[in-house]
Amino acid sequence: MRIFSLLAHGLAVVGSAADSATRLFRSAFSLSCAALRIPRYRRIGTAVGALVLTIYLLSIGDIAVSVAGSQGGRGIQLTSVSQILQARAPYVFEPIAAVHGWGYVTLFVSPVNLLLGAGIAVLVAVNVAISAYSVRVVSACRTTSYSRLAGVLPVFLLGFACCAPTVLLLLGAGTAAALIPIFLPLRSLFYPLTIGLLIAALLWGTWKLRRTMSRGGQTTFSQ
Amino acid sequence: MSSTAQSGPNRRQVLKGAAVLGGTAAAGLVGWRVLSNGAEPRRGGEIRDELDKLADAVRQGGPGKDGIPPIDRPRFGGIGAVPFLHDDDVVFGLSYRGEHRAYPQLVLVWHEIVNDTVAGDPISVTYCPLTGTTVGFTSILGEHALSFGTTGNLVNSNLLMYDRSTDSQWPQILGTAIAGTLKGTRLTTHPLVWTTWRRWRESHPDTQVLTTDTGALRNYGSDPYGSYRNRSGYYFQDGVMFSPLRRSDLFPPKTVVMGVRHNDRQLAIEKELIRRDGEVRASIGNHQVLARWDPQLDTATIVDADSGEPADYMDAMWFAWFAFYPDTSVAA
Repeated sequence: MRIFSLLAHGLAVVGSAADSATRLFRSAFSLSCAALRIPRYRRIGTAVGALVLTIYLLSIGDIAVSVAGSQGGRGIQLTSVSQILQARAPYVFEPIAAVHGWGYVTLFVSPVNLLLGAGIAVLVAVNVAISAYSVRVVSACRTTSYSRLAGVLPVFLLGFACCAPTVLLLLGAGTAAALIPIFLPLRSLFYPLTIGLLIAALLWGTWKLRRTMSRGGQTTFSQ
Repeated sequence: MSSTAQSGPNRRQVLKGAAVLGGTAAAGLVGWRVLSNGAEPRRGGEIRDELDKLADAVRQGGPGKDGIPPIDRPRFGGIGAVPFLHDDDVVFGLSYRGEHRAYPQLVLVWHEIVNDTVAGDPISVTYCPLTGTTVGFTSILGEHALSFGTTGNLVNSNLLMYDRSTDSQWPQILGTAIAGTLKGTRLTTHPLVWTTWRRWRESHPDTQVLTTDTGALRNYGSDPYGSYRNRSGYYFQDGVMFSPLRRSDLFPPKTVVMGVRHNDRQLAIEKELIRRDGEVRASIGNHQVLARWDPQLDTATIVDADSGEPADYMDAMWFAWFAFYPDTSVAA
């Protein structure tokens, strides 16, 4: 019976923690929505998010650029939709369409890659919007701290998440040989780790912001 | 009332806790399956022989299984079918029973395997960019034709293939299964020549050439590893990306040698030596082979000195040939 009682207590603790986490997520969501309703922070977030998505697609090869204009293919190419969920590598999927731009640039369209990239981009955008607003609130409270901008640092993990051996080759075969044994086995962890850290950074940032705002007597967002 | 409240936790909280733990466990299981997708189980146990040693040296290459998609329904065209190819781009030329086919390096670098049929016979044309090796496998085993896929793994930097019938694993250079039910089985090979698109089509105006209609979408005008035409990137750097089992300082690692096999003996002839001398006669054990420079194709071919039949040979980067065949003899 004692075991059941302990188990029930343990589960209740988990349940209470889930309640707290739910409140934290709700608070983060409402604060993020409020920050993005302000045009200035929405513009900043959108610009950074678009940049992150572009870099993400470049790093996994879904945007290919040739300065010499030597790319094959013209116009729009389509292939079997059945390949949509076929993985090329961890968290990298087959494209089902290619849009060629005169041999200089090609966009390979993989809906799953776009979705994964968009997930990262949205999280970075919200983190940046919240961080930018935090800087303003903190300045208003006459304290100086830019530490919240560090909330977007996890996105640099993406660099490793997307690093195929061929990307590492840009550093030279010798450097690639030194890095590959370390990064390849961990590669499949980097994407979920990036997502996890960005969410953690967002929760932390919004929690600190809410606390700073309540200390300063501020309850709503202002431009 | 208070005693009831203190006697046990809130039932709602308990249910929530159970749901959270259950959900987390389910998500963990799904996540584990995603993470383990494409990962090959490592072999355990004592290293018994050379094949086991090679199987133990298998490393992840980055892509998952068939993440580098083999071409299973290759489409060919006449010499006008590949407008993106420059005259001096590398192609791998295959001559088999009177048919001539060109496989552009800029297409194969994205696929590594073409499960083809030439003159009615199944031939798998394979290319490994990291070891600079191209081998045609006349993939008939008993009555069954084998077709191959890419495991996404490497051994001695070399492409590790699997066959779709038994899932046995075959390093391309070795052509012998190192794991699976066909372990120890050796495939019959047919040589391909490295040349340029202009030289090949001038030598064989009736050639068919592999097109980019491969069933996959790739950036076919470019090579992620470097460029043979511009002599840049991995192909011309000294370093290798995946450490081989053994190293030799006899030649710089990326020196191109013609690797020749006869029974269980191997021979390496520096390709530049054949170019310089025009003809090199060498022996593998008691067997004589003749390496000749073909000025029209600007490449080397090797035949059995007695019969004139093509030998079992391939172009290879020295480091890779030596890693698989440390007892190879070398023609001076």
